[in-house]
Parts: sequence; structure tokens; C-alpha cells
Amino acid sequence: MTFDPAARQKWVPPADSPIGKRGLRPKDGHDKATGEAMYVQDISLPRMLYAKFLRSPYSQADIKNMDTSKAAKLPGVIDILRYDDPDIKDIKRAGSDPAPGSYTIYGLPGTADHYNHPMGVIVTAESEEICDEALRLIDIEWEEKQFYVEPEESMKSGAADIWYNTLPYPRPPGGNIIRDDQIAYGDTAKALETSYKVIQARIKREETTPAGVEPQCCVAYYKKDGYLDLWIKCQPTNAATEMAGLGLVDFVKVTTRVPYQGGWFGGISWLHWNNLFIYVATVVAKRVEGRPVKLIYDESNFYNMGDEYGIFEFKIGVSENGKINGVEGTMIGCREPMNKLYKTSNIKNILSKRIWPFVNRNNYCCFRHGVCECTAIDTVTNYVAAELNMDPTEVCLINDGSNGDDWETIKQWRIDNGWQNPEVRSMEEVLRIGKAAIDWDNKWHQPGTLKLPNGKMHGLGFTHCYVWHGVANTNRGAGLSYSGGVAYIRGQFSDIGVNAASARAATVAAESGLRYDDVTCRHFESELQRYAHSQPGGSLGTESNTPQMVLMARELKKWILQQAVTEAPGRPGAPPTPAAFPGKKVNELDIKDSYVFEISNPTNKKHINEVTKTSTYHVDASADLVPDHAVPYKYYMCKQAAFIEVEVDTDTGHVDIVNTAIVNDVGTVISPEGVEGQQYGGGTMALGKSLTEEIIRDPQTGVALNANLLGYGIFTMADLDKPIDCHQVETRGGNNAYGVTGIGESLGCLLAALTNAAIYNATGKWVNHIPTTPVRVLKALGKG
Amino acid sequence: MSEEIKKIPRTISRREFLRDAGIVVGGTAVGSAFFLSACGEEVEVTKTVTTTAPGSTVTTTAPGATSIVTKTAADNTVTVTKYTCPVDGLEFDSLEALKAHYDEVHDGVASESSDNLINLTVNGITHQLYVKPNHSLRDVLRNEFGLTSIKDMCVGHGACGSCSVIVNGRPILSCMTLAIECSGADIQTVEGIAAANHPLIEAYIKHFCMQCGYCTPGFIVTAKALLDHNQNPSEAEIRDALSGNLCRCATYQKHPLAILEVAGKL
Repeated sequence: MTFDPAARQKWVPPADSPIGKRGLRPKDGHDKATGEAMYVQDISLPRMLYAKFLRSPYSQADIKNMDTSKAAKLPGVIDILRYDDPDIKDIKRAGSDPAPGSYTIYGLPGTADHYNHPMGVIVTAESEEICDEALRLIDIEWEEKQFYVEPEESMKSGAADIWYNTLPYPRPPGGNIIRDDQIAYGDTAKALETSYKVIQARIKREETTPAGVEPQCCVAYYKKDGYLDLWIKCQPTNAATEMAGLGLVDFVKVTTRVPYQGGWFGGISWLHWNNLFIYVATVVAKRVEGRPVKLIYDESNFYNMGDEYGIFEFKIGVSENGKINGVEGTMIGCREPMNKLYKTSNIKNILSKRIWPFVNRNNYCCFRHGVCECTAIDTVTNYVAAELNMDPTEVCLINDGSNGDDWETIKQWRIDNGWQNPEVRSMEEVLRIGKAAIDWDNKWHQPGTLKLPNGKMHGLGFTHCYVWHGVANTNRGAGLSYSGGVAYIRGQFSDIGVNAASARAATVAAESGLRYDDVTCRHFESELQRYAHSQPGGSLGTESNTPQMVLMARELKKWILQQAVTEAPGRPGAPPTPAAFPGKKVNELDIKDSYVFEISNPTNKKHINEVTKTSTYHVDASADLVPDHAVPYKYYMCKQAAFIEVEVDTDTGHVDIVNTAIVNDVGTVISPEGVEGQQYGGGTMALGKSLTEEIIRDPQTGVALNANLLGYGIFTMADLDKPIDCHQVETRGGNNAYGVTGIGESLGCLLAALTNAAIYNATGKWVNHIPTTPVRVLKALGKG
Repeated sequence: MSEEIKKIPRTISRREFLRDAGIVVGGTAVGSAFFLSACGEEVEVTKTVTTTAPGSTVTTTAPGATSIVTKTAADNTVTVTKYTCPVDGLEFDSLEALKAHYDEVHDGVASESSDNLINLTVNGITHQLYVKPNHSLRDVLRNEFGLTSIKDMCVGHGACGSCSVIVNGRPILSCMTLAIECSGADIQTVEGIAAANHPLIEAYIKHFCMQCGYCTPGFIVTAKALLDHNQNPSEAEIRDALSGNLCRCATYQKHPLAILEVAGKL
């Protein structure tokens, strides 16, 4: 069964309900504030063993010989798993995002493809200390190979092959270039030819890393008869399904638990480290059957790479009035950079090119991916404004639209399809609010023209995008159960801190009439993975799951009301129990705050416990109840914008961010505090990517020199002069239920190049090398 | 902060026993011997060689055994060598016997010498335990006490603040502090703060100061330490005090709200 998403878009949240209400207690608040929240790192089981990887000291090298005998003799060492052991040598996973099917990743390779690559051997021992000591006792003869940390070197004709055990042979054309492809909309060449002006820009982005908080780990307990218990740190929760498909486990014998997750922000490595890591943990656990094993990769949070690393080149064809006729955008890196510009604009001619060479840096990792695309929008908008001496917010509005259509076309479509608030233009609302928040109209000036009394140069930066959606498929299997006056949302998902449990509970409470406090979310376990919420588990996942919550809650409400008017059969030999509302019909009743009441006489009310007594109810988000989206989204109509105000010290190159305003149209706000958290949280992370975050490598060895929180500059409490000013707009313009969209990923990307535009406005010079560190600012000013 | 480690007296030594029993010992040489425990640890033990005067009586005891009294011959000396267990002070006639005892009784709890026996008052309860000299306070609190609120985001570099605990009233980084330095200390973790129903807990929940939650206990500990010393902090003082706690989710702007509320300013 399929359906048109516009039908769900029309749903309106019940009035005076928990949806959109501030002050609801977060469902995970107590656990996290008291220290009771358990993460995979905290799991400790009787007789638990620890397992650790060897990590490569080289950027590209093979193991020629390895002697583990001394390690094996160390007291406390239980098992040593070598890369060439039959148990592990064929454990691999086909890579997916962002180049499906193009490469193969091995769980324990004998080749190192980057410094600190977990490979070669895994030691299992009684303690972490013994693991570490055993790893030091392993003698390895390495064969070092040529490596490249710069894409220009890796791409050169005649360059040595790197990542050679990952890319299948024969190698794709270009040796180390894994993808050379493009997506074309319209006729960009012609658009550029016929434009008033063609503007060119080139931006380089350096390597970032999640600097995530909880290292990658997995507890696997393989018991006799093949039963396996897992505690996983992973955003998708479907490892058991995959492993069963590979014959590693019997699916029915696996219990997967997903404790709280410590800050991973997606973490779906393009090497799919997450699930592959779980495969490896399972293999290790099988070898020590009968004792649980915690497999740890200590520094994983610094050895994954954001997918925005690369070089961007743009050719932008414009008319005199700021209308963009066509854009050719190329990324030397892993993403096609232009698809979000297409989705958020009326630009009909876009050529999005990707040339993706391997480099001997870390595995690519999606942690809030979309920075590439937001960099493109930021650069295109601000370069056009600069070249034409225009206000960039005007350039944005002139080119506002979606999928190549302009606002008028979109508006008509919305009217024709019964969209909520069809004539409300999201970008206008967002710009109006954001500009007022930062006092844009009074403060914006031509570039390099405002020197402050403190000697610094004042600048404003602006960027925009649409607020993107979660996955369309919504009938992943959640469930709702009810007993004793409490509704339990069943369905496993990875709680990464977006307040998802509260948002789901608010939706169920709103639609069922129960109090928010009477709805709970049980997401850590699911028998046989029967119930798994839509992935990923962030706010996009929350958005995707909204239809499930709505439809299941409505079924629960129907059941409760039916119970209220139905006589319940008594025990054998006993008389039936009268209905709670005898003589009434279902449509004469309603539920609010966990009370069933008579609509025409609200004082006639009874608590749901009195109504349902000992009866229980279960409903699944089946394909019948929650049909899939079949129709692709026509437009992306909820927009967002970010504004920053900076002061640039032209003697030191230092940039102070003195004011930040973020405006997001999320369609409908379910949890205001949850949305806000993603705004300032994602915004801060993105500003860090723009200003301070960079992995620095020794060009001689490829070693990451600052892969730790001392040297890698994530923002601290001291780094923003003022809190980020967050504004939420609700146009009901999203494509999903209630018109919602997601938010968390968007914000982590939107501001990730914004200091470049702000510094330009302050100084009249483009830095074009991100992060825009003081050295680079000085160089742009001709002082470095 | 460091205090001299409180030494708990071992069981009475043989020398002391003999002295008190009025036995005249002819001469004693005390040295060291070493063996490798089953855990791979090199263990140093006291080796005592006692040469008795002719005609004196030497009493030899073994763990759990009845005293054996050896009388010397009138004109002979007897040399008795004893090896003393560094953990419980028991004496053995051979290094092999001591090693067997050590591996059986103390294996896995190495270095249980009196030097490594410390007292810690954790969340109001005083404990006595043996710690390895190289173990951090963080390791001990997590592994021995099960206080998993104490996290590690920075791989023990002292960079993140998520391992913060209050020791004798000061917030410290437990990953950078040796447990053995803390004997006699009064330690508070977020579990204790929560058990005492400190208003910071509710304030943090109310103001949504957490997202993934991994860093939250460290922040609350630091905040509590601040309020213990300064009940009327300004926002600038709060930000300064908390600037050593890192949050990758970037919840920063909410923490001052919670702390100011508890401080009574909101």
C-alpha cells in the first residue's frame, strides 16, 4: 500500500497538547543528570574480557611477518586473533555511503591504510592493561609503502596505488580515484555562456574529526548453543540482521541492546565501521565462548574523518540583478556538492561534479554530513553578492525556490495540493526573523568598510539552506503497548541525545489523550529486532517516525474509548462488568490528560485506569497501518538561515564571533527544547568546523599530530561571547506528518563555512581555506 | 592535596614475636628476594636469615600449621631463612612456598602491600582498599566502586573534564590523579550529589543541559564545586569555572541558566 505524503502533511497537531509545549521533562534527563545512564563503555559483566586492536604506526604499510608468541605467553592473555586467521580473514563489508558498492572493507586487515588504522591483530585479555602490554610485545616486520595525504598527490598520473586492499582490482580509472561522476540539471554550459558574468571561486576544507565522546566499543557475549548478547555503540541497530545474512549468527538467538550513546552524531562511517566493528566483536566473542568480551577502539573518536574534506571549485553564471543562471560545482572529495543548492533554489542549471581520490587519512565518517553542500550554497550566495555589490540576503531571496522551480510555482502547487499555510513563504519568514535578530539592516555594510573603536574590523556573515528531511520510509516496525494507564512506545533506536524519546512521547500523548507523563519510550532493547525505529536515530529519525507515533496513538485512543462504552465479560460464573460510560457512544467521548470524559458534560470523567481496568492493548506500526511513502518529495520548502557578527583583528588574524542568530523553519515543533538544542549545539559544532577544527598531519609520515582534545580545537564554553540566538519557525511546510522536518544534521552543517563570508565582509578579503585560522586570515590580508 | 598515606600495621612480625617471647636471636640478616607472580608481576619480598646462638630455641611457624619448635644442639648454630609475604606478613620457609601462597591468595590483587592500602571516603562512606600505584583515581572509582558516571572523552589526557570529581572540596581531574595519592580523601561524585538531592540535578534537567549526556556528570560536579565555594557566582564566573569541561554536543549556553537558578538569581 502506498500513499501520497501530502495526506499526512495535512495532519494538524491536537490543540492544547504536549506537541510544541515547553517545560516537558525530558525522558532521559534523570538518567543523564544523576550518572545512572549507562553507555556501552560502562557495561561490565562477570568475567568480562577486553579486546583491543593493534593500530598502525604507518600511513600505508603491509604486515610482512608477525610474531605474537611473546604476547601469547603473557599471563592474562586469553586469545590472539591474527588478520590471517580463518575466523576473520574473510570478514568484510561492502562499503555504502557515499559510493555504494565501490569498495570493500575488511574487519581486520593485514594492510594499514592510515596512521592508527585498527588492523593486524586483536588481543583478548583479562584487562585493558594486559591487552596494551601484549600489543607492545608483538613483533612486526612492516613493509612501508608510498602514502599520500593530499588529494592532488594521490590523483596524479603515475601515483602509487593506495588503499589497494580496499578498492577492488582492476582499479577504477585513475588508480586512486574511486569516483569521477556528476549529476546534471538543465544545461549549465549554456547558462554560463549566456550569463552577464561568470564568477569563479575555490575553497579548500581541511580534515575534521568527530572528536566524539565515547570511543567505539562493543560488548559481545557468545554463549553455548549459539546465543549471542550484544551491547552496541552504533546508530543503526541492525547488525544482527546483517550478521545473520552472512551466516555469522542465528538471528533468533541474538539479543541486541543499545544503551545510551555518547556523542557520535551519525557516525556511520563510509567504511561502515559501526556494523563491521560488531561483526568483529562477534568473531572475537565466539573464540572465547562463554565469556563476554568488550572490544574497544580507544581513539576511534579522532580517527574518523568528516566527509567535507576536500577542494571545491565553482563557476557561477549570474545576471546583473543577482539571478543565478547556472552553477558548475566540483568537489575533489567524496561528495557531489551541489544537490542541496538545487533543492533549495530556483536555479535550473546545475552541474555537480565529484572527483574522489583516496588519501591516507582516516576513514570517512558521516557526522552530520551536508557540510559540503552547505559550503557550496554559502560560497555561491556570498560570491555573487560580493561581485555584484549586493546584500547576500537579497541574492538568497531572488534565487529562492526548490528543485529549480521558483516560489510562485511552488506556492501554486501547495494550493493545488491542499498544503497547510500554502502562501506562507518560508524563506521570507526566516530572513525577516533572522535579520531582525542580528540587526542586519542597520549593521550590514560593504566589505572592509567598518573599523571599530577597538581597532578590529567589523563583519557580518549570512548563509542559508533548506531544512532537510529524514528518510521517506516510515513503516519500520515500532509498536505501542498499553497497560495500567501507561503507554509504552516499543521500538529500538540509538539514543544519541536529540531528545527523541520525549518527542515521540509528546506525539503519542497528544494523539491518544494520555498525559505526557503517562507515556514512556522503551528503546534500549527489542526482541529479535522486531521493533526498530527508523534510522538514523537522530532528529531525522524522529521526524521519520512521527507518522508511526500518530497512527498508533490514534488506534490506542479508539481502543480506550471503545472500552469505555463496552461491557466487559465477567469471570466464569460472575456477572459482566458494566461499561465505564454506560449508554454512551464512542463519538460522545474524548480523552484528555488521561481522563475519558463526556464531551457534552466534561465533569463526567473517569481516569483511564477505571475505564481499561486490567485490560492491555498492543498495536504495531505495520505496513497496513503506516504505509510507505511512494512518491518522492516534490519540493523542500522549509528553510533555514544563519547570521554571525565578527570582529577581526587584522594584526593577529584572530576572529571573535560576537553574535550568532539561527533561524529554522522545522515545519512543526514537537519538542521546542529538543529543536533548540540542535540549533545551538549543531550551530556551535559547525562554527568550530569553520573557525578552529582541523586535523594536522606530518607530511613526512602522515601521522595526525593533534588527534586529541588538547590539540584539536572543538569549541569550549569560552569560545562564544554570547549564547546563540535561536529562533524556530513553524510554517507546517515539511513533507512529513504535521508538516515536520528534521533539524539536527542541518545545523551541524549550515554554519560550517560562515566565517569565510563574515571575514570577507569585515576585511574585503576572502580566506577561502577552512578553518579560517589566524594564520590563514593573515595570509589573505597579505601579511603571512 | 596529597596526604601521607595512612599505614595500617601488618600482623606482628616474627622478629617482634621472638623479641617479645624473650628469645634471644643470635644474628639476623634482612634482605630481599624476588619472584615472578602468575600475573607476571615481579614481587619483592623480605628475606630474613637468622642464625641462632648455640643452645637457643627457634620457633618456626607456617601458615595454618602448628608451631614447630626446633631446638638447637648444644654446640651448633641453626640458620633459618624466612620469606615474608608483602601483603599479609605471613612467613614461609621457601620462596617457592611463598610464591604458591601469593599466586593462590593474592593473584589478581597484586601489590596488596600495606603501602598500597588506602582509605577513601566516597560519597560519604569510608572504604579501605588496595590500589595499584599506577592506577588513576578514575580507574579505581569506576572499576572498584562501579561509579560509571566518571567518563573519559579524551583518552586520559586531562583535556575534557568528564572525569571530574570533588576531592576534599576541590574539583579535580580524576584521570590525572593517582588513587594512591588520595588516601584519606573525601570524594564526591555525581552519584553522591544526586543521592543528596542537590538542586543542581533538577535544574540541569529543567534547563535541558544535556543531550547525549556523556559529559553531564562532569559538568554537575564542577558546578557543585563552584557553588560550594561561591554561592553567588556571576555568569562570567560560571563560564570561567566550567571552561575546562568540554561538550561536543555544545550544550554550553544552558549550564549558566541552571547554575544561576540554583544560586537563587533566577
